[in-house]
Amino acid sequence: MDLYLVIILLLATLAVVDLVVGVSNDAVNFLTSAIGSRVAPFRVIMIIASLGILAGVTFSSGMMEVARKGIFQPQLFTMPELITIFLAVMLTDVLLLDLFNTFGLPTSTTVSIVFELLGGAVAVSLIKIAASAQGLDQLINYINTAKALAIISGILISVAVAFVAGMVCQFFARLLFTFDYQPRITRYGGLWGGLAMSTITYFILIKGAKGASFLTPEMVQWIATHSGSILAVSFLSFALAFQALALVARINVFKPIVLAGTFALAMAFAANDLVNFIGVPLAALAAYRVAAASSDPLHVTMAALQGKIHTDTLLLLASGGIMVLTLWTSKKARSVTKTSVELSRQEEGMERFGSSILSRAIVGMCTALTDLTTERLPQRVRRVLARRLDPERVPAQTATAAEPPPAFDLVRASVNLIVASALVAFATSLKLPLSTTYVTFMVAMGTSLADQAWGRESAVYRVTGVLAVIGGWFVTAIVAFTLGALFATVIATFHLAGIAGLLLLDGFLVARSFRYHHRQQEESARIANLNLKNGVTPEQAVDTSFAQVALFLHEVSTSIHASLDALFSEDRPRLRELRERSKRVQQIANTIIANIFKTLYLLEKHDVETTTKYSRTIATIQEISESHRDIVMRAYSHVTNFHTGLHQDQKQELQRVRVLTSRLLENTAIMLKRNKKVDFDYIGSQQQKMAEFLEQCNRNQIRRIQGGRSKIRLSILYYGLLESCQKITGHTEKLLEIFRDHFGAGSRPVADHGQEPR
Amino acid sequence: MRLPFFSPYAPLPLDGFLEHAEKVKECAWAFQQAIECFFSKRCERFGEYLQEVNRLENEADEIKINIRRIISKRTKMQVDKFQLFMYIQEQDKVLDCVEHCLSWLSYRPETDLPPELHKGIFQLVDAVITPIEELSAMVRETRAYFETFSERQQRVVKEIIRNLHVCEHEADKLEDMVKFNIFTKVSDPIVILHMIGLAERIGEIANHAENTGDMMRAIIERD
Repeated sequence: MDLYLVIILLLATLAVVDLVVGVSNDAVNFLTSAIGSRVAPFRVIMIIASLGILAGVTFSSGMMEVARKGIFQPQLFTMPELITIFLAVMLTDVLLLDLFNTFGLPTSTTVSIVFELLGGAVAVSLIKIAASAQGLDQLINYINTAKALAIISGILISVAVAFVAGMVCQFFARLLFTFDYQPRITRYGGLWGGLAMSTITYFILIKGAKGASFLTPEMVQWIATHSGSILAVSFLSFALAFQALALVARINVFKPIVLAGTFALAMAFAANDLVNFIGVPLAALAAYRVAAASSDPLHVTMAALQGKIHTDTLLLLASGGIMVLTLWTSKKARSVTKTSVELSRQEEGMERFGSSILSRAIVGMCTALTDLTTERLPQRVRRVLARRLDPERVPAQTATAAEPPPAFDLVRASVNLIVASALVAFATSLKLPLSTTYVTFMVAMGTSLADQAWGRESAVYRVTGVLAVIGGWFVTAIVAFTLGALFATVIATFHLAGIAGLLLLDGFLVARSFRYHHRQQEESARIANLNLKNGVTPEQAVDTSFAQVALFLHEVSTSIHASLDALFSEDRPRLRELRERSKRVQQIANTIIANIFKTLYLLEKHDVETTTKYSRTIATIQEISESHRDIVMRAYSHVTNFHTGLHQDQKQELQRVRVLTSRLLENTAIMLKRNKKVDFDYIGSQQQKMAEFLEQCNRNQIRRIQGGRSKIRLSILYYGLLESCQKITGHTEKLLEIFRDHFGAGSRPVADHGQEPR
Repeated sequence: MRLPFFSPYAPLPLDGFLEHAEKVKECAWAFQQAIECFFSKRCERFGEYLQEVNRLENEADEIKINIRRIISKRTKMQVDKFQLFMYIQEQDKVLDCVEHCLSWLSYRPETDLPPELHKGIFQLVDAVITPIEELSAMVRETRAYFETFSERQQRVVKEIIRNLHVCEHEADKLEDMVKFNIFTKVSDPIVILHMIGLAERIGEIANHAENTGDMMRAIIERD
C-alpha cells in the first residue's frame, strides 16, 4: 500500500504540472476578446480574469465526479487498476496539452481528459477480459459508452452551431452599430447592455449554481425553473442602468460588458475545467482511501466511488492560486491566445498560417456563394448593407499613435462573449456536453468572418489556420485515446519500470518542447522587432530599412552556406531544418518589404525620383529571397529524393561560388549596416571574379555532360544553383547602387537597428 | 548522444567566439579591399582601410577580453578552460597577422611590382580569406553541436575543420608560386624583400586559421 501512496503523491505533482499546462491552453477562452479589443490595460484584464478564476474554483466541487465515474464503471475495477488508468491519464494529459501549447493551438482540456480516461479504461478492461478469458463483448460493461458518444457529437455540433451563431449575431450587431459605433452607443447602448449583461448573468448562474457548495439543491432548482423571470428582470434593470450610464456619464458601455464577460468566462472555466486537471488525482486519492479502509485493499472493487465525495475548499483555492499564477507567468498561454487573436484580426498583415488546397477550395466556394447571394438581393438592400457594413467607415488611426490598433473592436468583443456565454449556458441547461474552448474559438471565427476580417488578402490563410485548429481538436481525441491506452498498457505490463520509463519520457519531451517554444519565441520576437515603429521620420525609416536589409543579406548568406554544406554531405535532416529556416528568411523579407511600403507612404511628400529609386529595393529583396529559397528547395528536394550526390569537382566549384556569393552578400550587408562608403572597385572585382568563375564552371559542366559523368538531374541541380547564386549577386549589386543613389555613397551615421542574428 | 537538460556546466562562451569570428571575417574583407586598393595605383583609400582594420582589431580585442573574463569566473565548463583560452588566442592571432600585413605594406607605399604579379598576390589573399570566412561558420556549427551533442553535428564541424586544412594547403601552394614569380620577375632587391615579406605574412594568416580549426577540434573532441 505504501507504494500506492507514493503514486498518489506522484499524481498530485502531475496535477500541479497539468494545472499549469491546462491553464496555458484554456486561458484563450476568456482572454481573446478582452486582449484582442484592448478593452483595458493588460494588467486590468488579467486581474479581472484572475478574480473570475478564484470565484470559479469554489463552484467546482460538484464537477469532480466525471473522473471517478463519468467514463467507466468503477464498481468493476480494483484500486490498482484504477491507479493504473489515472496515472496513464495524467502522464498523457501533461504531454498532450504541452504539445498543443508549444504550437500555440487551442484545444479542449475536457475532450483530452475524457478520451484519455476512455483509452486507459479500455486498455485496462481488455487486459482484465483477456486475463479472465471473457469475450470481447464484455468491454461494453466496463465503459460508459453513452458519455463518450455524447462528447464526440458535442464536438461536431458545437463547432458548427457556434460558428453560425457567431456569424449571424455579429452580422446583425454590426448592422445595428456599424464600424463607426461610438455615436450609436447613446441610442442602442442600453438595449445592448441589457441583452449582454442578462445573458452573462444567466450564464454565471447556470454554470456556477450547478456546482456551488454554498447553494442548496432547492435554490439551484429555483434558478432552473425561474430562468425566464431572471432573464427578464436582469434585462430590464441592466438596460435601464446602461442607458443611464451612456446618456449621463457618457460611458462606453461595451467596456463593462467585455470585462464582465471575461470575468464570467474565466469563472466558468475554473468551475468546469478544474476537474480536468485535479479530478483524476482526487479520484485516485478517493480510491486509495476506499481501499485502505477495507480488509483486502488490493482486491476490493471501487463501488464506493459511485457515491458523492466532498472536495476540500482549501484544495480548490490552492488550485485556483496555481491557475492564477500560471495565467500571469505562462508564455505559452500568450502563444495560444495570440493564435486566436491573430486569426480574428480585422487588419491585414503578416499571416501565421500558409495556404492549403482545402482552404483555397473553401474560400473559392464561399466567394462564389457570396457573389451569387449578393446578386439576388434587391438593389436597395444591397445599398443599405454596403453603407452600414463598410469597414472603411471607422475613424482613421493616426500614424503617430504609440501602439498599433487593436485586433478588433469592442462590438465584436462583446458579441464574442455574449454568444459564447449564451451557447454554453443554453447547452448546459439542456445537459448537452460541449467544450468551452471549441465554442469560444468558433464564435470568434464566425464573428470575424461576418466582420469581413477575412478579406481576399487573408481569407485563405485564416481558413488554413481555423482548419489547423479544428484538425487539432480531432487529433486531441485520437491521440488522447491512443496514448492513454498505450501508457496504461505499459504501466499494467511493466509496473514500476513502466512508470519510471514513462516519467522520464514525459520529462524529456516536456523539456524539449520548452526549449523549442523558447527558441520560437525568440525568433518571433526578433522578427517582430523588425517592424517599423510608428512615429519615425521618413529619413529614419529609410535608414532603418537599409540596416534591416543588411540583416536580411546576412541571413541569406548564412542559409546558403549551410544549405550547400548539407547538400555536399547529403544531410537530409539538416536540409529539412534549413527548409524550415528558409521560411524565417522569407518572413524577414516580407517584414522589410512591408516596412518599405510604410516608408513609401511616409515619403509621399518627397520628390518622386528619390521615392522611385528607393522603391526598387522591394524588387531586389524579393528576387534575392526567391533565389535563396530556390537554392534551399533544390538542395532539399535533390537529397530527399535520393538522387545521386554531386561529384567532388562539382562540390569544389560550388564551394567557390558559395564563397564568392557570401562574400558579396556579407560585404554589402556591412556597407548597408554601417553606412560605409561603397567600394565599387572591390565589388566590381568580386563580380568579375564571379563571372569568370561561373564561365569556367559552365565549361567544366559541359565537359562532364559530354563525358557522361553528370546525369540529367545532377546537371539541372548544378545549373540551378549557379543561376540562383548569380541572380543573388546581381541583385545585391543593384541594392548597393540604390543605396549609393539614395545616400550619395553614404554620409549619415546609421544606428544599429537590426539585431545580430544568431 | 547526451541529455543536454541536466547539464551541471555553465554554457560555453560560444556567442562571444562567434562575435569575435565575425570581426575577424570583417577585418579579412577590409584587408582584401586594402590589398586590391594598394596595387591598383588609383586607389587613395589604403589609409582608410588600414584604419578600419585597426578599429576592428580593437573591437575584437574588447570581445576577447570579455570572453576571458567570462571564462575566468569560477564556473565549471564542460571543456577545459585552457582550451577555450587557446582557441580565442589563436583566432585573435589571425587578426594580428592581418594587421601586420597591412602595416608591412604601409612601410613602403610606392612599391613597383610588375602588374602580372598582382594577380598572384590577389589569388593568395583570396585563398587565405576563404578559411577565415569558414571560421564563423565553424563556431556557429559548434554552438549548434553544444546544444544537441549529436554526432551528426560534430561531423559537420569536423568537415569545416578539414576544409580549413585544405584551404591552408592551397594557400601554401599559392604562396610558393608567388615567391617564385617574385624572385624570377623582379630585379629590385628592396621590392623583392618587401614582397616576399608580404607573401610570407599573408601565408601566415592561413596558418593561424588552420590552427584555430585544430583548437576547435580539441574542444569538441574533449567533450
